[in-house]
Amino acid sequence: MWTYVVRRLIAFVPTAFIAITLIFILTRLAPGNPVWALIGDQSVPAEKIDEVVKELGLDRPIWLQYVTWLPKALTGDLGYSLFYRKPVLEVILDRFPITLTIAGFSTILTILLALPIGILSAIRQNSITDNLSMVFSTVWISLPSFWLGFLFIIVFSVFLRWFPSSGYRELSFGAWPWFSRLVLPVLALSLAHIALLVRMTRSSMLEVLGNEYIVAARAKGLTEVKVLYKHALRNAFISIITVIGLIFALSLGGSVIIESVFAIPGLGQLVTTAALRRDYPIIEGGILYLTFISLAVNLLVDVSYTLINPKITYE
Amino acid sequence: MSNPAGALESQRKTMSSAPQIRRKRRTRLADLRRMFRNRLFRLGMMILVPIFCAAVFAPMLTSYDPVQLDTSSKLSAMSWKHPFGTDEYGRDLFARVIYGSRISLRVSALSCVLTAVFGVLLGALAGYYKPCDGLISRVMDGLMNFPGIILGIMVIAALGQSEANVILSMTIMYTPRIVRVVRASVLEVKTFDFVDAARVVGISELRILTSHILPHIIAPLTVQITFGFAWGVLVESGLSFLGLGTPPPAPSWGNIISDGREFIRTAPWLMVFPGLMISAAVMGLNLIGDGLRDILDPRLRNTARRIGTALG
Amino acid sequence: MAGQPGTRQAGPDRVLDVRGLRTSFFTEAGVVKAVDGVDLWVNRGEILGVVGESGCGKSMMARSILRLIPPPGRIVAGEILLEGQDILALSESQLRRIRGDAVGMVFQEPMTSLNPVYTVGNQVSEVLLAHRAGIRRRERADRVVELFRLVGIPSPEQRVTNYPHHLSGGMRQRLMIAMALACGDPRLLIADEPTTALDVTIQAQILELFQRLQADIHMSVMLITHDLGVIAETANRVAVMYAGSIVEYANIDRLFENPSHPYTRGLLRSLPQRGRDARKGLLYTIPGIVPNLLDLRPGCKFVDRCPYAAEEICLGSEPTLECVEPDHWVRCRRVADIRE
Repeated sequence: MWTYVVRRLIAFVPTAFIAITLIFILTRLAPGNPVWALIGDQSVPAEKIDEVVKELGLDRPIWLQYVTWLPKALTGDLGYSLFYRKPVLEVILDRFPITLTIAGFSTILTILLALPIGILSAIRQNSITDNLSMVFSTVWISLPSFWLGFLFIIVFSVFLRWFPSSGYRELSFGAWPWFSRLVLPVLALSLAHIALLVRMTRSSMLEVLGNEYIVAARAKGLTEVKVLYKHALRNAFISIITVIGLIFALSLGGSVIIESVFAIPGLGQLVTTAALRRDYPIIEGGILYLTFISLAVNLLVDVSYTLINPKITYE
Repeated sequence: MSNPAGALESQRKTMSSAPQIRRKRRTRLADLRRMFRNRLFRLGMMILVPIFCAAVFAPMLTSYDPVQLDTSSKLSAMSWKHPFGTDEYGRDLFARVIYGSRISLRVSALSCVLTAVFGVLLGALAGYYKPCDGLISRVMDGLMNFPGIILGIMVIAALGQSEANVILSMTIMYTPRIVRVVRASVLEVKTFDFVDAARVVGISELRILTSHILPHIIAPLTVQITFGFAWGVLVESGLSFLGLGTPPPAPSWGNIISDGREFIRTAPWLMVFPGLMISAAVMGLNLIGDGLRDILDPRLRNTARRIGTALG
Repeated sequence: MAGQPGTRQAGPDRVLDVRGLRTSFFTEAGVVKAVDGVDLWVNRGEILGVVGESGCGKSMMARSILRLIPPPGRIVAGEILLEGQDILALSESQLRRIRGDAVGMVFQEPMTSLNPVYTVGNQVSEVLLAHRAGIRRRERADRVVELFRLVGIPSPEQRVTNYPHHLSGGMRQRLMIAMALACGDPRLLIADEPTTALDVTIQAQILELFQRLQADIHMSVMLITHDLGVIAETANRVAVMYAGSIVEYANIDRLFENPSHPYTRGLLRSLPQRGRDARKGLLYTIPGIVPNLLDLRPGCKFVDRCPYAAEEICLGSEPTLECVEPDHWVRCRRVADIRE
């Protein structure tokens, strides 16, 4: 079994490598001298520009830039942001916990709500419960999360005045200020994912229920409860676990948009603003960070999957 | 034993029931009929076709120019003159939304076409030729690891904001999924005996690929592309909302919502209607995709499978 | 012994008595009559073979006996008497007590009939847990090992902690039989194509196991298969099934000596013959294909493929099972002509 785990870890490396390289290439592809983006409209003498170019190493051949950049990137030295006048890593770390909170809560909420609904729908296939949840999931999947966010703001903030409409407060400011500003964003982010996970859970469970060993278990005289919980669920969970990594990645990606809707100063909003301003060090660093987190979570999920699937464990 | 000719005839009859050949000749029409009988498909078409028609026949539906200003009727609510109201420049929202459907649908459709082309190419190569598989799969995995629309944001940031770049970034984001589907299909079909049979008879590898293996990927491909279309509309609107999508003043649905942000308290309809259109279009496409999946791949429907396997 | 199977002869020696069983599937495409009027019985201590081609409904019939039909299927008519008790009238909990205890069932694909995430020992002992409430862990473990030994699984103590994918096909099938016997006194074992997924040598071992159990613990077996060879070797009586009904029902020797239904005759003729004369000529096959169960004409279901078919006689209404000689029933109106 451990050989399998190690093999998965090794397979992780080229994938991560490709992602990192892609980030490097894309940020350097931008037409024009990046220094112009940094300077903006100020008038700067030509020699000063050359100086900055040399300082940032932008005149060296691309492969050399890559080779010097890579070890720095991997160890956390992501450069310096002229817009924020701080090392990129510092800017990222300031905002990362906020995004993680939102994505994390969203993932947990999604799993807690979607799994029972999906399983119930599968057990009671074609009943009212099932049809209703299918209709709802079809609808929710189609709603754009940012639009949902605004709808929530209109209804719950403007109209009902239950929750504030934007911003973020640290926990140190108090439990309610912190919580009340998280409710709407997390909800708006999660709804589409809940719908997606309900469908996946349902189809996974249906597939398990269609297996011969379920009929065989009934033929042995086991109670329906036993058949469902002992035999069906265990197998369904194994395939559902793999989806958790996907849900987290979706939440992470989705928070980019949600943060913009609710003016939350997280990593997503950082990257978006940086993209609009062509602040390449931040774009690069931010995306690297987000991608790495997503990769790490997927790897974790992958490894835990091998641990709970006896076919692989006892190979 | 008393009728060898009859026995031969009956044997020939049973042998000619090779499923694929019969199907092509007689049941094409039945397939089409089955398609329209599917409830999900019908519902999806009922939602999507009006939107599509609105996009195509836009100039006939509204006399207003979506970018024309009319400062005398700024921020007015729904009325007979302006069914969806107007924005802060006095532009008719209905017109903007209708013309916006052209952009959103067009961008997504084009990226779907490109995705299909590249996806099939790469997927077939990966599935059929083992040495290509390693590289292609790794690169696709690498691409899929970017969470959400991050990859799209990065491409736009690198290449600049334009409709073409939006299409490009969407293609890059969705192609890995299509490659995966196509590759899985090809791998599955590759092992079937009729492939070996074709080789034995002397058919070239390319011909085997195109006329024997490719037909099998059409079903899952169509379903995935339809879902990709829906996803595309969502992503395009998301990118436009962030300011990284279709450049203004083009009225993409996402742009309109973004423009309407500051008036969320005073003129909420500016955001409600475009969002409704996005939802409707995506829902219609998703329903069509679901319907197609039911129609084209009955193996996925549990009831049919259970009866089928249990009856024997 | 004369008289139709449908007449209410209470056979005290009958373990299972099925009368007029009909099971249909209500699908979007229409109603599929998977089981369409089945009458048969299994005597105590005998092996009844049920033979028919794929799709004839024999699996559905087997599952109907334990009411294991999934929706959209439903048993629509009939009586299933297990030692006099009507299974169709039982409540869910009563039914569960019978399953795995008085009636055991073995399925075709031993790999898919076992849950891949639990050990084989666990899956056998849960049958004991379900039916013998007070049984203690030690006792249960011993019983499991004993069962493994009974069905011929070597090194039972070690095998108990194996997972299904560690065992070979033959051993998995023995395991299924062990599960069916777990509670000690099964009245009836229903075996649905138990040897189809196994190769010939293992097949022989499993069939031999059935016969041994029949001899040692006087167990009754309903053996369902499409393989006439299996039937010839193992069964005492045979029911031939076609498109949802029993078309011939006889003692095994009678069936092979004097097959009377055209379908049975066709089946026996299609068996490859040995010997020099047999090598000439083509292999016989029954012309045509199984009828579409969604689209049946009233009358005999075999009429499109039958060499003796005569429209005036065979269509119109379905023929009934007639007794043509002691212990031999045939569902065919032309049987007299066939048996010249």
